Amino acid sequence: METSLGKTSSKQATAGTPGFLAQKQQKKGIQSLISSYIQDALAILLCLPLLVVMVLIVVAAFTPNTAINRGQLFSAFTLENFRIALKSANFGLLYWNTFLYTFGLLAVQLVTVTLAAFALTRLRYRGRETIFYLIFLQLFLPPVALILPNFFLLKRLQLADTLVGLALPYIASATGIFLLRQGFKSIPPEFDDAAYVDGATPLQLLWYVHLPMIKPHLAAFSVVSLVYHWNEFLWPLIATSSASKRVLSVGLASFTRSAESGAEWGLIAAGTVLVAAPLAVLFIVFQDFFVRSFSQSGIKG
Amino acid sequence: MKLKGYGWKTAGWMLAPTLFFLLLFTYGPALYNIVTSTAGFTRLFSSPANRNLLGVTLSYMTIVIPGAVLLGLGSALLVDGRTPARILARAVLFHPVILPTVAFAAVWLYLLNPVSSPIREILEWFMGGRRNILGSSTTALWAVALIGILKQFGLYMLYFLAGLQGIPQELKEAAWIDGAGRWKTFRHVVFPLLGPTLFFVASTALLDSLRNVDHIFVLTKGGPSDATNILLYRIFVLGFEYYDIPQAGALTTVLLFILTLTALLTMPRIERRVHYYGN
Repeated sequence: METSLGKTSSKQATAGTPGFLAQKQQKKGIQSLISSYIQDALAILLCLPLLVVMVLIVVAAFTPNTAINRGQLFSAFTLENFRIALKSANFGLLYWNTFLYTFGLLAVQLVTVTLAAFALTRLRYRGRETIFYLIFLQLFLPPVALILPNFFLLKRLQLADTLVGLALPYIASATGIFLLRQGFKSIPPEFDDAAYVDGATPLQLLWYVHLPMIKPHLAAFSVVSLVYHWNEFLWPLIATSSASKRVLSVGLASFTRSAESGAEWGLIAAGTVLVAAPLAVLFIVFQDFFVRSFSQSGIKG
Repeated sequence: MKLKGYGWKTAGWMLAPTLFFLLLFTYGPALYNIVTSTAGFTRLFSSPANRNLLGVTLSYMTIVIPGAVLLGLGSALLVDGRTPARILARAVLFHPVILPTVAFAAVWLYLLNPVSSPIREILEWFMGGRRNILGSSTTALWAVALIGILKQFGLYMLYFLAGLQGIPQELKEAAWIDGAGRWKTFRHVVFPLLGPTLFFVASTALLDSLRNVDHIFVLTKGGPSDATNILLYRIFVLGFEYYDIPQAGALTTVLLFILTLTALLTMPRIERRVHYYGN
């Protein structure tokens, strides 16, 4: 941004701003070009530690454990860590459970969240403000704060240790409603008037007119929800107990516990890579989309 | 004639699923917990672990919140712009956000182990000798807090970047033509305009510091000698390992109290922002 600013300003300056200003801008232009390179260098310097950490863990995953414990990374290559990791935890089942939970929940959320956001922005009725605040307050009362009473509720409903029970506390999603609300608010009210004049019902208006226009917001919410629940740990640890219902992060934690006692760092590194890989790969491929989605998740109205 | 889109007929069924689950899994359990937890309060402060708890939680928050917010702001200022270097730096700084906290913590479990850590020379230089960082009660809280910061600050960086992009370019150019340097432009133009973003990020960081305890499970389990035993982790241990439901319930009420207080203090300002941007 600084670079382009510098360039355009000096171009404008040569195009005919009064002399002294032009000179000043020319000087500033070169200065800001240099400081732009310095800023680039500082940015790289800042991210270097995290980059090194990332490389070290991937290398450790492919290094024999004996070499790691002698402190010799980059000395030998092996796939043994992955072989043992895949054998000692049922990664296939962990992936499948996590996939079912995250995508199943998302499918339900997309419906509930879209309807609620539409009703909050495009319909008029008494008590709308109250409902707005009721949903807004939930942003401050995340389900993890309620693990204790929610666990007993699940037991009462006979849904403890099921993936359905795991998903229930997240079906009402204030984050999603506020994200979609941004989308609905950006559509001019004239669209609604025109649709109603043509005899459309509110649901038809939502389906045929609004939905195509809020697709970017739906996509952004999908990414945020998928990442959050794919990585989630505390609630799944409590809500599910049998090995057949276990999700990835819980599997990794129990796996890490047993490998840590034996200082099997190669194994821990391989497990970490296996758990992080799906999202990491998607992130590398769709980097811009991820970044845009997450920056939209901050409340903007 | 009755106007379409007015009245409860349509809004009712559209809001029903959200309101139903909101009452069943948020407001219902919260109220139920508050009402039934009174019994647990009498014993709450008799155990040394609980007496320590609020102090440790506050220390943890005092490190994590300013740390993550400032690191997020600093990174945003550095990676603002579309040069290849900054786009790369942005992705690297953000990537911990999309990793499971337990996986990110497992990475640090390896990096901080005193025997075979690949960065042990750096650590030894830094700590003045070989130390078990996670095993010592003086350093464990700092380590856990630092990992909490590194996991989350990338998200705040994005919020700040969005805030920076919302500042009209003309304002910066005007200051710049008036002869203001980088620092002065930031101090007098950019920073004041980032105020609402800063407030929003700080409240998000406050909430995150209370609700994200996954890394404690992998790194320290609340130890050594309760040095990293923070509120939500303690609720888990009491409720699901010691089955001391009354005390876990009482602590849940304390947590709900802190969260509600945060909501009441921050909502008016954030809500204005919501309405302002919305209309």
